[in-house]
Amino acid sequence: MKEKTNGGYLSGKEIRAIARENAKQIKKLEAYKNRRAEEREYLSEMKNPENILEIEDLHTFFYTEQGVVKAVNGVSYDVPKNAVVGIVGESGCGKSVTSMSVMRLIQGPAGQIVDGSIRFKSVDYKRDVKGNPVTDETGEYLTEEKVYDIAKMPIREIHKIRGKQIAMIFQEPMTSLNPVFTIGQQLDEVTLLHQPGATKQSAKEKSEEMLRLVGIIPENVYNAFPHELSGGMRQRVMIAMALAAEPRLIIADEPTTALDVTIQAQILDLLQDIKNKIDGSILLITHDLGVIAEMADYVVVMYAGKVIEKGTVYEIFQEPKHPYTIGLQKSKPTMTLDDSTELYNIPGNVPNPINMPKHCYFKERCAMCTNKCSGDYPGMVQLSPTHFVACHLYEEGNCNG
Amino acid sequence: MADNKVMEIPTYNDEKLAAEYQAKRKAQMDEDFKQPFDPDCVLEVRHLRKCFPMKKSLTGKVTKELVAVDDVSFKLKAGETLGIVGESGCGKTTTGRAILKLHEPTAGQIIFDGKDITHYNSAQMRPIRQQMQIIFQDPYSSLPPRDTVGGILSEPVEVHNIVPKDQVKDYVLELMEKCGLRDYYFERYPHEFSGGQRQRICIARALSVNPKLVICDEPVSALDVSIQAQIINLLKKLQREMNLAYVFISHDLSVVKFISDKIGVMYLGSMMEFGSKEDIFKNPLHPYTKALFSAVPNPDPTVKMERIKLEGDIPSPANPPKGCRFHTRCPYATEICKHVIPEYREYEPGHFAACHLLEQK
Repeated sequence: MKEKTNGGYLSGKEIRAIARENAKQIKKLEAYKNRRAEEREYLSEMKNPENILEIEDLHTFFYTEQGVVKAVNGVSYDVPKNAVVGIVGESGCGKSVTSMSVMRLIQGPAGQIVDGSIRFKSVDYKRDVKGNPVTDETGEYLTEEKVYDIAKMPIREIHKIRGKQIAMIFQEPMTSLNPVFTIGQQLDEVTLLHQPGATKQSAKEKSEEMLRLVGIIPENVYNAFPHELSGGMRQRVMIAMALAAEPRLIIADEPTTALDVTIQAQILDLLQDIKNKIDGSILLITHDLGVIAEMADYVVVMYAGKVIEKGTVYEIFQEPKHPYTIGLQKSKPTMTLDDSTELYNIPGNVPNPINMPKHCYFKERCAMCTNKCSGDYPGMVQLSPTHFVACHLYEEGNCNG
Repeated sequence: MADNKVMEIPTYNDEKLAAEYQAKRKAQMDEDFKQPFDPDCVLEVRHLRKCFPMKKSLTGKVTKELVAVDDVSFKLKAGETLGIVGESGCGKTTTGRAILKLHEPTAGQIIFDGKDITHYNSAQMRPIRQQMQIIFQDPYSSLPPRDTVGGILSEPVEVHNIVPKDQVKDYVLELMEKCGLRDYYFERYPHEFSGGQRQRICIARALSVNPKLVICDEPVSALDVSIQAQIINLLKKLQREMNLAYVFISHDLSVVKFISDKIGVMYLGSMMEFGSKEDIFKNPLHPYTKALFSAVPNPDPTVKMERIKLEGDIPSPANPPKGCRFHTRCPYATEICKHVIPEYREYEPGHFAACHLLEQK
């Protein structure tokens, strides 16, 4: 992009050029998104059959009037079966956009998945040519396993996965529940939509079972409206709703951020409990390191649209390698910290997402910078079977850090 | 046989008890109000109470009230920080605003710098306002969007005549440097800054009039961890340099622990426990304080903490439970807790708490 001269402001000519370029790109991507395609076009294979979700080199961009915001810029991570993967990072690092890309909920036309693949192992009812579920002799529905590449799926096919196979728990329980329907109606809808052969009666039974699972007495809540419930109760209802379709993957996007600390403890306990009861994985997105340490098996640390470090929870918290991960942990005041000294802080701010530099994005704020850091963006270095870090300090021949 | 004897359950007559409690409390309060002011303290709050009307009758008489803050007392010396923690709806923000008289207190006394400012009118308050300032939680909505940073910071200086007119700009630039803002920001507008920088502007604006007391109402809650640490360090540095007293309101216990000298724990409008940081963290007395501390997630996966689980939700402040406010969620609640409000007492020197369990000990 051209060097900016006008004190950081764009001229009218530049704005028009950006708008033209954006319109061109968006038109192409929207056409791809809205196309009709046969299923074999977006079927894929898992690299590791133990994984349930594999994100590889995902790019999600936002075409804005000021330029292209590379919100997710080459993110790769895996979610193994029956595991909790925590994604941690500051606001604007792309952690939510990644999960929204998995659900294909990126707000178009400005936001678009540009490149990369999201492979998801789905187990769905076997369907005949007309799309009706097939039963065996005893009347049981047959299931079949397929691997879909969500990034390549046409948007009209996404209902095969969204809500049924992957469910989401949002941050704001008030804005995620519909205020004009009762809790019961909203919960029943999930079952009626996703369960073949469900009746109103069976849907109600299922909803009540789900409410009991999240620690709510159904009689009090089934006929209530969302505004009659407290924040913690609403979040429980959201969790019940996510579980009702028996998803294989639950994405929890900051599930406790809007809650008080004692209620947060209740919800975290509930999630731990549910993890053991269901046969699925949880993708937990949060900025709270404490929540991650308590909940997650694997941790992915993101910064400015890139994964900078990933590993098991012990590797990340006991032996953090990337200077950002180390700094983040040191700058969080804890209950056991000695408070006579000054709190460690990472100087500066996250760079402007529109004009990202070529070199490591963390260079300006890093305390352990070397000459090499002015070069290209560092690649992922493998330190152990599960521990990866993107930093020049740990590249080959320089392993002592 | 001794077993045959029916255990005598004490009966509690709510109305009688309430009347007794009111009379006792009133006598205590009247006595406290007559006490001389502590000359060491910048701020002294005595039995502060703030009610908001909820329902009015046809004649305009208030029939139902929401008691947002009930009987809160504390003292604060110059250069000290008082941290107020509590969950949402516990009245911590209302307390902060009532001290500044942004809300008119319903009852109680606020003594600032040796003067009882409780009944000051707005004209009398104006010179006082220079000495007490506030930093709000949301740096995005607390700055005027149509004024430059220079304008925002110069206005209070000009209004209160801090320095002669021709020196205002130099004074503001010096202040900006102190708060970690570059000098070329002077001509810029708030929307050009990130959250952390805006919070620095808010801090600079609060400090531009050389206050003695700054109320920090969740100043770091809207910020990211790495920026949060910068702002906390800045607040601590400025406190050392300018000998400021802070009232630091936050729901984040670890932040409050880091910055405070004294801590008050609030629940549903009442002060549950108050004491120095060491007292509160090493020897918490109140069951709510203990539960609150154990609920904070620990960023160390090897440590699995024993958690005191609190059942249920926080009751609505519009309809608080009778007796001890906390009894509906307290794991140790007894019969007396349901009926009688526990007294707010000093159990160790400088360490106050309100709990029946402690009284029985």
